[in-house]
Amino acid sequence: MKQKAKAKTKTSWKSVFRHWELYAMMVPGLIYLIVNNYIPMAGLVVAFKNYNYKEGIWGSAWCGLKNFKFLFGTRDAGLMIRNTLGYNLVFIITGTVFAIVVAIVLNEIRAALPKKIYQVFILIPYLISMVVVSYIAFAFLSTDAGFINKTMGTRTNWYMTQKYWPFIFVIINLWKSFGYNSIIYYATVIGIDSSLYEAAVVDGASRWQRIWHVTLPGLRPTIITMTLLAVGRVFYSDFGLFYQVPQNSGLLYDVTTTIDVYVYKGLMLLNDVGRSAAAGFFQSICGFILVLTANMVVNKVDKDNALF
Amino acid sequence: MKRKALAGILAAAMTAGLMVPAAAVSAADATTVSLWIPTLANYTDEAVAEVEEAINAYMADKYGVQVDLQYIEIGNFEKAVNLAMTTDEVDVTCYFTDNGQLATYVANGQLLDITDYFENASDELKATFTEPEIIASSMNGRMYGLVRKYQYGGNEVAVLNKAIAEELGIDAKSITTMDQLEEVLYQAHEAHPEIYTLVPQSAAEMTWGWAAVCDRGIGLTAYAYADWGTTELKSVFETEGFTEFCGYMSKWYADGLIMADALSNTMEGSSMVTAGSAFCTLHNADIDPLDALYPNTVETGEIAPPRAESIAIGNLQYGISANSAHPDESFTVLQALYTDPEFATMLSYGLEGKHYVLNENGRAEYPEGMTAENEPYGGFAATAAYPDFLILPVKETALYEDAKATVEAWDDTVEVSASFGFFYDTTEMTDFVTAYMNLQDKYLNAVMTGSVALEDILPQIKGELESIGFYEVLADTQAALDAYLAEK
Repeated sequence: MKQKAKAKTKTSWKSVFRHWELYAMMVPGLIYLIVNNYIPMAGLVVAFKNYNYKEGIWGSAWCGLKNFKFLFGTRDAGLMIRNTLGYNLVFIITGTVFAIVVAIVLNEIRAALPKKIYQVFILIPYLISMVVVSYIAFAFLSTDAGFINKTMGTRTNWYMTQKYWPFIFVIINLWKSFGYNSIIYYATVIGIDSSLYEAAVVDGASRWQRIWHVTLPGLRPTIITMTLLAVGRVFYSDFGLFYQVPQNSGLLYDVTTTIDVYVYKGLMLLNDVGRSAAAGFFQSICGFILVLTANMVVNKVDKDNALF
Repeated sequence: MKRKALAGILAAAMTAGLMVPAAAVSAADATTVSLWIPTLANYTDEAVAEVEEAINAYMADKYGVQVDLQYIEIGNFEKAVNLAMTTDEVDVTCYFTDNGQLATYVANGQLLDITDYFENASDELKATFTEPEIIASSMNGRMYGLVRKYQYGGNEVAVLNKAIAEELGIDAKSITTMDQLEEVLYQAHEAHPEIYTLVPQSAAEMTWGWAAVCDRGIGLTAYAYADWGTTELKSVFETEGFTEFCGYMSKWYADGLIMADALSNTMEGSSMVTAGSAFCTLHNADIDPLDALYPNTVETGEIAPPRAESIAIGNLQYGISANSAHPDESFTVLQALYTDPEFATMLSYGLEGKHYVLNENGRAEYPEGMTAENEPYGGFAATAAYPDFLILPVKETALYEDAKATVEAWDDTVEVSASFGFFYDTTEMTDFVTAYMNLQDKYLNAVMTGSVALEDILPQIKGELESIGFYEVLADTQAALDAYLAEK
């Protein structure tokens, strides 16, 4: 038995030696991963410490779960968790549906040049900084000179009226993200075996039936993967979207305060690294649990498409 | 084999590349003190490098230290310094105290206790500061920084567009009350409905000065306010001064005098008035004339007298990061900022002959052809960001001959907060303070710009204040203040 294990180890090392260039190429990535992704994890200990700048991470006193109380101990806790989860769920649903529709439409376009042009145009918003987006939004929503008020002949003060902002956030998020997501879906669509479409045509399937019975089932693994990744981040929010775009208008706080925005404001006021770390820790753990749960559900429903 | 060798070389190069930043950091000069300053004007990299070189030639001879100038845009300054203070990246730094930040810095262990350094410092440095200034940079009897040598507090004025004021025959200096200002605002609005009549001083903040509003920052807290001359603590929304101020603003907003998008404004009021896109902005002022700072403007008379909140005496201070690797050298630099006119002048005004000149009267001014807009080293226009303008050559635009005597005379006229010197420890109340600040942020600019009438929203605000336990905390703070005053 021992001899067998020894022989196996020897073979493994031989294999490493034989393919040393592959392992060598792995080293930079591995170092990067360890330095940037694993070593900083030790810093999570700050979430349980009364962080003192002078004492540093390891010298600061322990404070148990005090930093986590910040997230749940105020009257704003329900508000920020509601907003964070609510917006993310709407973003996932609208984003996924819209991106799939656009991917399918792109696939149906036969002319190569227009297809390329559309792809480039729908990707541009994804590349624009949220600060720039906030000015574009202002150009639309300004009371005096905004495109909407000018066109409609109204004087709506958008930055003081809460009821419009859930819709504005959804529209901006959709506009900004659908291009990137639809290209990912489109890449999957063009990878679907063309013989399936040919067989469907031979069987007399209409265009709609081909989409329904061939394209969408082909997209299912990608949809599941993308959704699982998005579910893992439902406790995070796009800080720029909720802070920059509404210009940090106080009267909109009830609909713009997400966990990230609240923590940012608290940090700006108190420079409290411990509470920031606690918020990040909480978001990661919740995301991790949600991904595991969602994957478990997928495992039960459709084992082949589960991530693990 | 060639491919294998190439793969090996590439992998080695990438691995080495990952290590480079670490090597670069470890090579830093041990005797260089970094000095962080917020920018109130434009500085080009080349100009900063030139000034830094000249400063270092001087500092090496006189003090045996080098200075690394770090200019950070004022809007990002606080965030940048907070981040930098987690390491030894920053040595000497400016910091603001207008929101009670000193208590936070001390509680977080961010600032070095310089009490012993100060006690052993030169007599010249000790004589620089008045007792109130030492109190303003101290907590529980320990000193954590040196206040910017500047006049206490400020008064409140309005800055008007000069061309429109002349066109309408407005005598700006005769405007000394809000009612008189109201009169000219309506006059300007009628004559020039195409421009904004009144805009916030900066972004969504109607005014930076609180002389015309109420006393704030009592006990170095973010939530305790009182009417001027009183020590009865209130929420800001319930002080008489704030109510009166907001009454004007909501009326002016409703009548279209204040820009409709005041809450989402991102521009400086003075820039808009200078450019002629607005007629007026409220402004905190001091001994330097604002109309000399902002072209095409004229400053009104004093709308509110000079007043200093507890946090306004030295609301900008310079201290040493607790994580500084060179505290001794850092204190040497800190001391020189207040006692060495040559160093201070180079740092503030730049290089003589290049960034400023001394005229025949010995006063400083821009070199010929140079203005605040095109001067590459912005320090001359942004003296307020530096530690001590009293040891610099007097500017040509100044209305005084002797800066120190003028400031002392000004300070004598200032109404200092009746609660000055009182400190209330909020380090164990961080959740409350965060909840309060969010609540205040939610409403403060909205009512101060008149976008929402205070009287309409006050019941809602009071309800929210109650729900976070504000009035209990205020009562405790009041009890501590009363005890402090009784003892005093």
